[in-house]
Amino acid sequence: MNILTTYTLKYLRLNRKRTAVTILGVILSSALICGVFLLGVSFQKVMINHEIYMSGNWHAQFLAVPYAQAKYITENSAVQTAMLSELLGNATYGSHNTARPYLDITAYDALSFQNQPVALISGRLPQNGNELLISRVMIEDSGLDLKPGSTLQVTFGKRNFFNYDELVKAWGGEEYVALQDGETFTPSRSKTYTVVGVMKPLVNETSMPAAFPALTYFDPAQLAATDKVDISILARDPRSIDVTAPEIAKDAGLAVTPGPDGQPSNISYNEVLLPWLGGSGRSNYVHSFLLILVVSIALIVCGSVLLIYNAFAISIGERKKQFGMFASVGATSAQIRRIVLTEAGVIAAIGIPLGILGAIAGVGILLKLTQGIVSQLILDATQGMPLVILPLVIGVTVLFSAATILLSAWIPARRASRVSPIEAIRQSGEVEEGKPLKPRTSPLIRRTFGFEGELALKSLQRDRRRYLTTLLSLMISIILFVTFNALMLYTNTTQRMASQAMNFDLIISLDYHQSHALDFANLVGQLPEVQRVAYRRCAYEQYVPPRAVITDPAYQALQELNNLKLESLPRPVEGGTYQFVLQVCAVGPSEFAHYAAQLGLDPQQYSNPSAPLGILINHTTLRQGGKLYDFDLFNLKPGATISVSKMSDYSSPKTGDKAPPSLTWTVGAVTREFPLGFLGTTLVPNLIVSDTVFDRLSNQLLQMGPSNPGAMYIQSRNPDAAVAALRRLYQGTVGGNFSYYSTAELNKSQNLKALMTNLFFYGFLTLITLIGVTNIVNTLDTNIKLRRREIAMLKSIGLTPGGFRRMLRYESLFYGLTALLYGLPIGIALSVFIYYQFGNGVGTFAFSLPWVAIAACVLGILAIVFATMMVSGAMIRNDNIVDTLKEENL
Amino acid sequence: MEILKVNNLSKVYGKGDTQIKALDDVSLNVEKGEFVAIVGPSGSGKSTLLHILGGVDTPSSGQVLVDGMDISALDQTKLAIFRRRQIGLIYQFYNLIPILNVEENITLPLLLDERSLDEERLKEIIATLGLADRMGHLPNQLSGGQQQRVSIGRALINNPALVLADEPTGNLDSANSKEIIALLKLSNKRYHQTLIVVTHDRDIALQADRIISFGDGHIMRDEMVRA
Repeated sequence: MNILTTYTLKYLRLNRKRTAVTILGVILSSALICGVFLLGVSFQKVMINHEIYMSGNWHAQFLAVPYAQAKYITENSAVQTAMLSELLGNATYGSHNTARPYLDITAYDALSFQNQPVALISGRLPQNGNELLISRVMIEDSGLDLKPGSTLQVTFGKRNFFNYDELVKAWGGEEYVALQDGETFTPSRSKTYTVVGVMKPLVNETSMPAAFPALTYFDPAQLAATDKVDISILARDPRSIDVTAPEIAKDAGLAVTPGPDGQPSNISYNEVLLPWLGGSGRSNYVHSFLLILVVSIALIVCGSVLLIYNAFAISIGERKKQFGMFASVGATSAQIRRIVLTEAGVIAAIGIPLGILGAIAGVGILLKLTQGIVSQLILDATQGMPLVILPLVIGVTVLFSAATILLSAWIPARRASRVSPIEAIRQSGEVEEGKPLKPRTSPLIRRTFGFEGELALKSLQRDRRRYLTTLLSLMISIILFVTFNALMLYTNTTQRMASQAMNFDLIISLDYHQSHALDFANLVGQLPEVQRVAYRRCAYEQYVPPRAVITDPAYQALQELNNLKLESLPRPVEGGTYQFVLQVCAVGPSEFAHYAAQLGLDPQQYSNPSAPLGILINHTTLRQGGKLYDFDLFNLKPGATISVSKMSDYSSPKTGDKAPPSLTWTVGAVTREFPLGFLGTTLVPNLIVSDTVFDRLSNQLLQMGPSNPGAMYIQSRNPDAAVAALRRLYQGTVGGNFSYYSTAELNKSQNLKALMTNLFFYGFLTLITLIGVTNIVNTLDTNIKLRRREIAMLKSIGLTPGGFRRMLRYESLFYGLTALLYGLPIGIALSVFIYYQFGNGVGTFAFSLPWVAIAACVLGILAIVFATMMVSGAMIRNDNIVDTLKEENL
Repeated sequence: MEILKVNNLSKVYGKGDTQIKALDDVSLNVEKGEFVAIVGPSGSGKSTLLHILGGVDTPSSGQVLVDGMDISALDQTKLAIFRRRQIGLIYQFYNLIPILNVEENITLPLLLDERSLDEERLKEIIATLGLADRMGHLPNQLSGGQQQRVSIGRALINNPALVLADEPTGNLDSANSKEIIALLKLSNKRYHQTLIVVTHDRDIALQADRIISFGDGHIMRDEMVRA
């Protein structure tokens, strides 16, 4: 074996303690890196599965492609899988259900059935164009006693109702528009289907208030070249789908017409799945997920680089003389560097595999432990989170850890190779040339701390490199601890805010265009299972206040925000003012009474349609571009009036609309409190009005389908009992099923999510703290051991054991305080940085710091420093003075 | 044959007022096989000269030719290779690698050079140095005299052009000192090894072929004791 390797191995063997600490550092750091990646990849995998389960396995969809051109898309080289489907449209089916008289039939080809979120309950999938797959809800609600084998006579046709084009556009498709009063149906052709299977309700089924979805087989033979089909694709590279999809469309000879948002209107993207595949997409969740991942990795790499660097720097510092000896007998710089790098290599070879195994075991156990929680959290993940071990993850970990070690060893290696033999022989390297040391410390120090205190301070000042190394290692530990706690605090705050924002347990969609809606809403209020209920109906109007009415902070914010492409952002109009959208809402008589009482108002005053009064909520809190905005929109006091006009186009209000005022509201009260069922809005002022006023003025209010068709928000002590009671009521009055959304379930899963995040965080925090503590102990211990000779010398001239202890105590104090002095501000600055990252992506909350953690950090640092110094000091206290002085190599 | 030629060598430390000339325009020649003692008070520049000759320190100006090669013109790597092939250095404090055993310490220059070991030569040196039963020991298991013998072995193993010794007996009692000097003389005679020894010890100096006296960075006197 090469002498350098022999030497390195011998050194590692003889310095077991140091080697063990270094290897421990490498194990910790590679385990942490690997653990983060494993968790990240497992989480990504479960989210991809979840999104596929919810919305299907496709990346982009080309809508209404003439069948003749379909092959240009399916045969495109960028397309991996192409799935064809055809919207056959609405059909009547001889229903007894008055709310849902239609079938919305879509034809799927075999690949669509495979990749779209279709889950068979009984029977089989359709295999030809005459077979039909229907939803379980239809079996229950159609009243036709359907089962696999039944035949169904359907008549395709077109629905006719008032404002057809605008409503279809507003709802995003005919199938999403509720049955309208006075609606008629124009039949076109009839067809007989055989029901062959029953499927679970589709995810978008609850958004189809007038129709049941049904699927048949896509039969190309029955298609004409001009028939329109939809093509969903899986791209070879989903990451660049927003670039490739329009190109594919162009290559196929399709016109790519940009929609209102600038995106092609005939291409839609799977916005929930793509972000998890690394594709473009605006997902705050993915954003914060990545943020946490990146910050975690950065913190780990920082912490471990420092730990490993320190271990190497110390071991090299100790052997400076040895390297000088090597150099003087003719070792080249390259050979000396090789000693250090071999050492790094050996440590890496032991530490990294152990770290990876540890991470796999650790994450495996964590996932096993959280299996129950995860399967409750995500409906389809009954197995919990899968432990996904990609070779890539192992590779990346090895790469990261090896880079960490190389980075850590490189500087000490260079320093070692630069050791000039003469320096080593003279042992003069400790003192930097040309920098005379300040011979005296402040007299104040001696008076306050005594001679030992002065000695302590001098010994810190004397060897700057050792001092800085120790200080840096303390600082990094402080910074890591504080920053990580801040990350935890902000994550938890965000999650808590998300769950607190919902003060209701159930949401029931009720379209107010349906005549039974209001009666039903009134009946719900009388159910004993329901504590509080709001039937929220909103209309949107255009409000252009004079400049003077807009508050200065609001005006300033609007000017700043106008560069951003925010939805529902007020638009500037002539005259230096803005055009706002005013949301006028009724919340149902019982909630209105409740709300008025809460604000100390008399509900009676609000029920006069000829002098309409409203409660104005116009406070806005939002964070944009790293800045917190917190202001009232308007200078409106009770008694002021708001003149509104009809919105010309609900989807894109135009600038400077000259529409005459259609209605004038009087502000009855201004508040920041929301009634039940409101999540808070940003730049849309709310006017809460009584139902009497809303209904009487509905001709002036409800000219256009709003984005919210009306929904009932229910607070209940027992949501399950409430759902059962509501179901009975609905079936007894309206008939059939109703769709509801339980926020109680969501709140539960929010709590579980928080629990899991905390589990992850605390595990992580433990390891980060361990890295920090190992680092501090290692550095300080060496710091003392390296000074054995100096201390022996001090003792030989009469330093008492008591004086020695005092000196160590002061040193600990100086180290601890200086490290805190520099470390805390940096940690806090990083926390601020993370806070702004959060504010951009997730939500708005006031700035705060993890004070408990900071206090724990201050106490912890002082305690650890103190304890380590004392223990190390005790170890050398009994050194024989003469032997130590004689000792040549320390 | 001239094995060492030093031309106008100077070494200056510091700048301006604090400038110290450790060596001031020193020139000398040494013949192959010569045993030279350099004497002088502390701070006279003798150790500086030795370190420059050994290629572990660099001169401020001037030339050092070892076996015809100008070592002041070598880069760090070439200088290191020069050291392990042409120079044997012996220090007052032995400077052995504490975790390598006696054999490894002695053969270190060879091993660094990745040359195969001349077993015969190693055996002979070890026998000469009386270390045969100490080959597996670590330096801290040896007495001072034994450690110094190991460092002499390390200096001789490569059959270098120059063996340079800096106060080789400075840390030893008189019995051990005598033994070490005897060994150095033996190597000088047996292997015709050129030997330059820096010493305070007049008795040691008197055993050399030639004594060079240093003072204030100059050669004050250069006398042949025996031919």
